[in-house]
Amino acid sequence: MRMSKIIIINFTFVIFALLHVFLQTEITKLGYEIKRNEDKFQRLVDNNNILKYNIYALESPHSLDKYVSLNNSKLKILKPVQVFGLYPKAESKYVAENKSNNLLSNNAVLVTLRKIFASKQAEAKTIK
Amino acid sequence: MPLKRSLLRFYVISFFFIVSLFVFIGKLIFIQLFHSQYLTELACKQHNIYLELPPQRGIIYDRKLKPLVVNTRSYSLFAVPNEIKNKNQVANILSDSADLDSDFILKRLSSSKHFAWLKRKLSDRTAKEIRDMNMDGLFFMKESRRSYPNGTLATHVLGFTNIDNIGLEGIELYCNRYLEGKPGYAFFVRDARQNVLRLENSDKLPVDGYDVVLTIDQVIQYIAENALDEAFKKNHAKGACIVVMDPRTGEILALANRPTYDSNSPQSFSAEERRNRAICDFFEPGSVFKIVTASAALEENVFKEEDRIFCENGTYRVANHILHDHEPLGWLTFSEAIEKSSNIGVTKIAQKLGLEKVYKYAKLFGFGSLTGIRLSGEVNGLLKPLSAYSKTSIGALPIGQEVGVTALQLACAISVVANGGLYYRPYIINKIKDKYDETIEETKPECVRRVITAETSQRLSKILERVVESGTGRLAKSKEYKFAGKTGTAQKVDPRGGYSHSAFFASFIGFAPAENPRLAIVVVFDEPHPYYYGGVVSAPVFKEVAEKSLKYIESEEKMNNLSQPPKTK
Repeated sequence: MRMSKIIIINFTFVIFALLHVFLQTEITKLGYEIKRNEDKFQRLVDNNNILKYNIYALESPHSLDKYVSLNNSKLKILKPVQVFGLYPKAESKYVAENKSNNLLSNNAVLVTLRKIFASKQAEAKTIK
Repeated sequence: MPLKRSLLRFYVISFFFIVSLFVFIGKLIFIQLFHSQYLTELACKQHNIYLELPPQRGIIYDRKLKPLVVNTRSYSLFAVPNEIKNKNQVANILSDSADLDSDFILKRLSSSKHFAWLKRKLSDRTAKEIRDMNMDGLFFMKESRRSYPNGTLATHVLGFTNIDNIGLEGIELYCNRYLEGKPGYAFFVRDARQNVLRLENSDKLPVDGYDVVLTIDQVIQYIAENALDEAFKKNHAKGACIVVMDPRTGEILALANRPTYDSNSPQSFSAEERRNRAICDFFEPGSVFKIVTASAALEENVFKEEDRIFCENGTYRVANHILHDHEPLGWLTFSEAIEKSSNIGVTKIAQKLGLEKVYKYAKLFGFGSLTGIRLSGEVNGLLKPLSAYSKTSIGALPIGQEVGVTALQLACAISVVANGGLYYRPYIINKIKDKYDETIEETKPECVRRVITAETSQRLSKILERVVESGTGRLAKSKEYKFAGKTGTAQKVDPRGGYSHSAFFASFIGFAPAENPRLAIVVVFDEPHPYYYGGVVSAPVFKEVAEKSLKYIESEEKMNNLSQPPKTK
């Protein structure tokens, strides 16, 4: 009877000890996991900040102005009497008034084909 | 016999074990009683670490909440010299990739310390290059870096920080105590492999810095800088500055200087380029100061617009000083004297008015005192005590000589004329708020005093309109808007004595539109050449900035009106 009591106490003690050790191990494991996730989160926050910075830099008036001026570089104020053509997007090229400087307009076959098959054509005439 | 022997062996071994047991128990007791504290401390040192959690420095926004300064992460390179075997090789590799002097690296690596910074805040690409080399003894530490997405835009306003993110110039310096935040601390446990993990939640969290919202408008700032930059290059000036202000409130909408610098790399620029000329430099204003004399004359009812003054055909003696006009002028009305910027005409106005009155109005217009804009480095200019002025001063002070002003003071002065005679304190910090948009501090427009009556301001505005219409400021005339302003061409003081005949300050102060002023603008060029007249050099800049800014403001208002839901009856 006395022996069995000792065994039960010992057994309970061992179970609690093992449970304690198990808990400590789990806590440590979770600690590592938390740290890993924190690092991952921080990395994402950092990348997000860099992306935001890039957006702000692209949205800055300086970049926007540069972008607009680059894209508007083909625009030109019309001369008093000037003909211009509207071509399909893929082959859209500005046809300059001076034909000798324009390779596209030099090609007679291409010009004729365009005249026939071009999707849109318009003529603008400004009267003084 | 064999039994005795084995028994003896048993006793010997038992004795040995028992003695060993006592030795161990003794040692254990000794450790527990006498060494426990020392060993606990040693273990704590090895396992436990308190790490400082740095706060995020506050962000600086423009008035439309567009970020002008943000925080990005960067990596700093450090070495543990003991762990590096071939120091020469490491120094050579790093000198190429990190753009460092190999002797400097070698000196750092040869030190007996356990930690040596090699380079702080590397670019992402360089950090990756070095990391990919996988060299022993080299480590990276993550740090926060101040980044300015707009490059040089508003750089003199924003300022910059040092490597430890402490403000050194501009708003970064002035608002450092708001922006910096407070660091926190966290308890971590370190394992045998130096991995750090958090087991307890006994942290003192960092308090992030407050955000600062400026009155600057990013777009107007860009318009102003662009126009100033072009003119600065075209006129080969030594320096230039522009201030755009809302005359109805005192809000600074744009403030720019040339030459300029990039806040992302301030160390690559000289102190001359980093100086905020608009508030740190004072100069003799010349003819733009005539608005003070004219205001005083009208306010004190000494002159009316149509009163006639003889301008002595270009030469006039005041005490022992001979005054000249830029062209010989005869009889002019009061208005024409201002329109044509006659030095003699204005001096005669001042003579009738008295120097005391001119001085009084100069003070009322805010010259000689700090404006209180809340930017570091502001100077109060130079306005001597009245007793220090001599007999010749009546031919100098009223035409903007013997007085030193800053561009910001001029902006405040022209705002007085524009807004009906009230002096508003200029301000650039609109609001200080925390991360949850709670306002910590807000600046409200502050009317300091009335300088002139609304009637006088209106009368003077009409005269200044004519300066742009048909006077010296014709190059500021716009087809779309009506502007009012005053030109100024001031000779610089020659260090050898007297005034220089080759170095000038060219300035233009004005407001737009003339009938309902939204913008007060000051443009100043230091030593432009070959052209040096304010009406030629500065007036076109005023025109461009005023026109474009007004169009922008109008389009913004239209957009805002469109985005608002229609009012139901």
